[in-house]
Formats: sequence, structure tokens, C-alpha cells
Amino acid sequence: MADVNRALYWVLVIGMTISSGLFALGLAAYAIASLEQYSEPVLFSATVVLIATPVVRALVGTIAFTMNRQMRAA
Amino acid sequence: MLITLTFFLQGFLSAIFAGFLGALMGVGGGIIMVPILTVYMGVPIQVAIAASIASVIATSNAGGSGYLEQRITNVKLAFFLEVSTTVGALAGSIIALLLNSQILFLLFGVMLLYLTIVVFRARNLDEAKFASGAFGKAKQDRVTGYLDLKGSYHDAAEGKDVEYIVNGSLPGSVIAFFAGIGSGLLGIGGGVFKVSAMNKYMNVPMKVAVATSKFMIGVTAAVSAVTYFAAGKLDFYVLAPVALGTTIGATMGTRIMNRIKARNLKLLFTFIILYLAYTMLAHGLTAWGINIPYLGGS
Repeated sequence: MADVNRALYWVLVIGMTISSGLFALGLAAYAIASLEQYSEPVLFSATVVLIATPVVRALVGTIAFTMNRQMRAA
Repeated sequence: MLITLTFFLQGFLSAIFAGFLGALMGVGGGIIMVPILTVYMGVPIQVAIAASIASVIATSNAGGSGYLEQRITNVKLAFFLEVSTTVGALAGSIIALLLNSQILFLLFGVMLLYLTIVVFRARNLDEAKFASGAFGKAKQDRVTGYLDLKGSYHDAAEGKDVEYIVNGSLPGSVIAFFAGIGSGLLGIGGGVFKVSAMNKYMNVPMKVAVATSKFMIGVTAAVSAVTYFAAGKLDFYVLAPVALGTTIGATMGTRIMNRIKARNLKLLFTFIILYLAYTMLAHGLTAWGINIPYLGGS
């Protein structure tokens, strides 16, 4: 039986970690003159991951509830 | 937008504060970030709103995961209310094209004033229900019974496990719908409406309402953020320090929320709603040439 709480927790933690890491990396690149050109694409990727995280967690929640045969909640 | 170290620090530190407060209240923190970005940091209002909305996702990811780990969030309730909120957000986008937004600011301002009174009058409700065990004795309505919406959590401030049974699916759904309209229309997360609806009308303890709202607002904000992203209003150099700050602040907030008495959370929450109601009324009244000063206003 899928632990819905646990599955959603990991989706949010992974999304948060990747997006925060990319935001920090993008800002660091901006601060270093020779790497400045890489700053914007990295920050763009961070924003995409950030926005995608709650969407993915909604999908994972629906799948987890379905696996648990709790279709009414999903 | 070119950023300096001072700009980064201002955005980062104020976002930590906004994220922290947002985690305690179950709101996104936009009502704090937008005025700071516009008034103190000189960011254009649309760019500030876009960065704020995107940072609501960051605070929801951080706060939501923290409360899931502590098993305070009611995930099934969140999924149930997300249906009404999403429909409301879509309706809000359509209404925005048809109606004068100033009138809607006034309507939402009045609604929030009403909620301020409701929450303030119910400030001792949780403690009274803890004492009588009323949270666990309520009767489910047909919808919450069908979905089996109930739960329990450990309240660190009370030092005991609290069981609760969810009811009031109709008023809860209606208010969640309006929260969605507010989000689609005004660019807010709608957390103040969701927390009030769950706690006052659905027999959900304040802390569960805060945690569940925090979990939910990410999805609502993602819908609005995509719109701003597509319109090219998202400035990555404004968003980056704000998103990092709110993530840290929200993580800190989730560590202490459960240790605070529900009554104190509600008093702080009342202040936040009152401030938001004032801002919306002041914004709405400008249509009639009445200029009341408010943070974030032009």
C-alpha cells in the first residue's frame, strides 16, 4: 500500500532541493564575470522546476490514491 | 534587471521573514513581499507580483513538505478543496475580463473584514474544542462521509494527539471557490480564505488548516505563475533571492508552528487578514478618487 504522505513529501523535497540548488548556482554564475552567460539559462531551469513541482505532486497524489483504491479522494 | 549585493540581501532577508510568517499562517507571504519589492526595492508592480506568486510555490514546497513530515497535513482534504479552488481560479480569470477589478477589490476587502471578525471571535474555539473533545465528536456530512475525511495529529503545544472529523463540505467548498477566484483575479494565494474556511466551517483544527492550506497554495500559485511566465513578467534575478529566502523562512516556520498555541496563531492571523482587507479596500476605493495610503500602492 503506497504511503501517500511519504510519496508527496519526497516529490516536494526533491523539487525544492533541485530548484533551490539551481537558483543558488545561477546567482553564483551571475556574480562570476566569466560565467555570467550561464546564469540566465540556469535560473530559467530553476523556475521551470519550481513551477512544475506542485503539478507533479498533484499527479503523484492522484496515482498514489488510485493505487490505494481511494479513487474517491483522487 | 541588474542586481547588486544590496538588492540580493534586501530580497533574500525580507523573503526569509515572509516565508517564516507564511508557514505559521498557511499563507503565501505575497502580502509581505509585494510591498517590500515595490516600495523599498523599486521593483515594478507587475514584476513584483510575478516574483511573489512564483515564490508562493517555493514556500508551499518547503512548508508543505515540512508539515507532511510532521503528519499534520490532511492530504485528502487538500485534494477535495483543490477542485473548488481550481474551478474558482478559472472563473476568476474569466471574471477579470468582464468586470471592473476595483469593484472586486472592494468585494474581497469586505469579505476579508467579515472573516477578520469571524476569526477573532473564534480565537478560543480550538482550545474549547480540545477540552471538550468536540473535534473528534462532530458528525460527518454526506460528502465528507463519502470521502471519509477525518484525521489526527500530535499537537506539540497541547502535548496530546488530537482527532478530528471533517464536516461542512458545502461552506468549505464555496469559500475555497472564492479563494480560487481571488487567486485568479488578484494574484494572491488565497490561503487566508482556505484557513478560515477549514477552521471555522469544517471542524478542522487551526494547525491542520494551516498545514493543509500551505500544501494547497502551491498548485493555485503554479496556475498563476505559468501565466506570468508566459507573459514574460517573471524576472529570474528578482525571483532567485526571493525564492531562496522564502524556502529557508518557510522551513524555519514549520519547525515552530506546532509549538505555538492555536489562540496565538489566530491572533496573528487576524492581524494579517485585517491588513489584507485594508489593502484591498484602499485599492478598490481609488476608483472613486479616494486615496488612502497603503503599502504597495502607487
